[in-house]
Amino acid sequence: MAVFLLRRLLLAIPMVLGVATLVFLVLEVAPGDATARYAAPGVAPEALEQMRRNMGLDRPAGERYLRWMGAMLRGDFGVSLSRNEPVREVLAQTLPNTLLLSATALILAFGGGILLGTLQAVRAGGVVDRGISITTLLFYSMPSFWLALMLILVFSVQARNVWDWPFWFPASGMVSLDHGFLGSREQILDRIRHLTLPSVSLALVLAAGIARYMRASLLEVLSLDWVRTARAKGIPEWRVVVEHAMRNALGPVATLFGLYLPVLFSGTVVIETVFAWPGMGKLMVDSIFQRDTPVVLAAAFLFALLVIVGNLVADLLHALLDPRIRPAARAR
Amino acid sequence: MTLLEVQGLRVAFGKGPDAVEVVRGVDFCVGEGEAVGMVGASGCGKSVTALSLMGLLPPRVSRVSSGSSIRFQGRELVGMPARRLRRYRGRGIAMVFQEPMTSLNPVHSVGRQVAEAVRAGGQVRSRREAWARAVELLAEVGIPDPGRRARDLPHQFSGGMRQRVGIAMALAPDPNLLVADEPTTALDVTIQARILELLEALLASRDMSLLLISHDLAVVARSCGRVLVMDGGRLVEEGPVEALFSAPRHPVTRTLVEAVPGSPASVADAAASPFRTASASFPRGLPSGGEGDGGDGGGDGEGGDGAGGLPILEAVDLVKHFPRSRSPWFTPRRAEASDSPGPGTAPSGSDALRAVDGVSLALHPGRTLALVGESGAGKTTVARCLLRLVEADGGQILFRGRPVGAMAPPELRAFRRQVQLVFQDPSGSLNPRLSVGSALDEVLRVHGLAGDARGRAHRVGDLLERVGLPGGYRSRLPHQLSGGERQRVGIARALAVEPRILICDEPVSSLDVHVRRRILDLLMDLRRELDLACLLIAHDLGVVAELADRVAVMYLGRVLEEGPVERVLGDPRHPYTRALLAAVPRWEPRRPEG
Repeated sequence: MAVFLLRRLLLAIPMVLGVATLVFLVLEVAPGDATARYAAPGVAPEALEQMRRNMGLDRPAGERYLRWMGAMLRGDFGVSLSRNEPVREVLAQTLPNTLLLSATALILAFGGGILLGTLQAVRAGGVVDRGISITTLLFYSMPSFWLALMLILVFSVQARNVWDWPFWFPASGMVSLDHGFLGSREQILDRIRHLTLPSVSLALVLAAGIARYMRASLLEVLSLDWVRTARAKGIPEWRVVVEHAMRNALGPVATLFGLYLPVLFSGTVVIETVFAWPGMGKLMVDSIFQRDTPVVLAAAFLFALLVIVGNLVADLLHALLDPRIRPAARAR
Repeated sequence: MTLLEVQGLRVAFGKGPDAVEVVRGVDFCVGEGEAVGMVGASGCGKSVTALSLMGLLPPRVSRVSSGSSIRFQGRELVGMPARRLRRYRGRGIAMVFQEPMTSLNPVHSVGRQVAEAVRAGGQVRSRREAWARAVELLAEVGIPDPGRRARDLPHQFSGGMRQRVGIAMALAPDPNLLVADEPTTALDVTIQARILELLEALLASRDMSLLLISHDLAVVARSCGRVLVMDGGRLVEEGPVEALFSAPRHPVTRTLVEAVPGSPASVADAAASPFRTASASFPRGLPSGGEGDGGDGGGDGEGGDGAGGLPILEAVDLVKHFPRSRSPWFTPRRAEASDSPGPGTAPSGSDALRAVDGVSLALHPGRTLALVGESGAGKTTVARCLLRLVEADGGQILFRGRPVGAMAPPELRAFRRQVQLVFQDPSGSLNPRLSVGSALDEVLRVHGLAGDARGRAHRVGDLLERVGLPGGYRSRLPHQLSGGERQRVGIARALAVEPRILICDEPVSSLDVHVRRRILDLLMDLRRELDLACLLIAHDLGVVAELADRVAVMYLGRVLEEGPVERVLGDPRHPYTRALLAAVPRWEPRRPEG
């Protein structure tokens, strides 16, 4: 077990370095640099040149790559060119927000998707199955930014201003302006209300896919011989489904967990921008526009790391679900 | 007193006008403490009948007709709501299924699965007690060291051991009726004998009725007093087992009786009972050309016990070891060979699985060498080594005296064309989307045989005729063929490239008794007409007796005994061969008091 984990982590090192190199190359090829935003009719070209020298942008690309890589390996991500803050601090502010949003979305997506898929498989061919199929397909085929805008329109704008619903959800930020003046219980509620729309719009798209996988996988398992054996024992049907079939059916869904993480993180880039959520996705978009190379590089690096760790978790989930791929319990 | 009474049972699959009636009016009863057998070819409705007893038929696609009646302990089960029916499952009627490999949940320990059945039975409440009872049951069905093994997962058990677990699970709630649906069909013959012994012992020690279902009358005859014969969804004959054997009335019963070694009727078909009558009775086992082994001197001018003449394919001291994975995470799914009798278990301590451990064989044109043994003996690995589909670790393979191991790729391709395979599962080895004609045409095209499209079409017609299929079959798809017809197509495909050697890996073991007969005749004719050298891999000694000239008995990678088929089966020298022969279920009339 420990050997397995260690090996997977060692394998992750070249992957992460590869990702960092790729991102560096892409930014290098892209036109313009961090001084572009200072370029204006009144600014002397010499001043921009001086600025470039100060930032070290006049050095050859190879040298900059090696310096940056070396610093990063020592844990130094450099200084943000647009915020004049250490990149490490910029990330420390945004990473927890992104983790909160993605974790909530993941739980909603997998919880909801597994539940819906199970319901569909148990009632396969019936009205419930078809209804859920159509609904999930609808969400599956929607672009997430558009879905986010529609959710804002319905649950934030119309619900509050036009329909006068007793509940509505804020459409931007993590907390309300008056957050500091609320009691602790209200503060938590306020955060949850802000978290709802972004996490739901992230989760809906994912949940639709998960439900379809879960349905197919559970249907297959339910037709297997040993499910019939379990039924022949005379145990209630819900226990046949939950205790026998579901655990076996979750295998493909655990694989999906690893596959969906990159989808989720690219989703946060869009969703955080739409909902003005101060996370890494929004930071990345802003930094790309500012040509803030150190921040973009560090953020891409972190995302890659998260995806790799997530896939490791997916493998561990597999082992948890299926004892056959656990290391032999006793030496034989 | 009657425990189960089935009247006018009709089961249909499908809906509306497309519905196919699979069970068409079946009446029978099982008395308390009685053991009843049910036999018939596959597709005759045995399993569907069994599943309908417990309401386990797949819902939506199947339907028990309203006129049917299944009365268990006087209560009508047809139309009973699922919630109430569930109480009869397990406790009233328990079931043992055919496939021990797939009928256990792969992610729950066997102890947990048995304990679950114990608790479902309702006598035991606490988990701890249920576990203790599960261990007891595992001991009762003969699992060694049950306390420890109860924690193991199904894949850590061999097929026979898994079937024992399945039986323990069925026994757990103390059922009144045990329905065993082909409980030994998927098992080797020696293990089948042990499972049948176990069922008999359990029947004697418990107050339980048994409905034993099999396609093999011999299996049923052993433990059941009364036998029901099914065909085409109907009960065609019913009676005491002795009466069926002495005077079978229905043709289906007759076929079944004839297939049983030692039965009175099978005297007419002596090839099916070679083990008792030895070398005297081989009218069908040998082609009329008289090229047998038993000192004939005819045919291709060879005589004596050994096969003279030049072998076309020869293996000398073949060795193949598979390394056991040392990965700390992904352990190989290997079943323990703990159900195997004979000389010890797999070599322990070494880090390699000795699949083939010094095997020498020779194939001669126009002759058949049979390789027999239990699963895991290394039979198929030998065949794969011969074709160089896997590289042997040691020894030599000679094709017409030339070492196959030293062949360059073009020569190897030419060699492989000379050697063709016929597989066990005729449906699994045909592409479901390719018609029979195009499957055969493809082979011809790939090998550049029979010229242009017209020439190939002509050749396809020849091939179909050769294997006894009408020319109209070329447009059929595999699912439109019966199992026997599919195997014929498989043979035609092997013959398409005009091979000199045919390797048949369990060619008839997935076929019914009467289909089996015709495929065996076909193989025999082909071998004679085309002068093919055959390597027959089989576990069924009846098939071997009929088809083979020589037989090699394999066990754990070694050939224990080799010789002419009459000698080996009639007068086995190795104790393992004797055990193998003794395990074949056969008809032995009971003594009057029994």
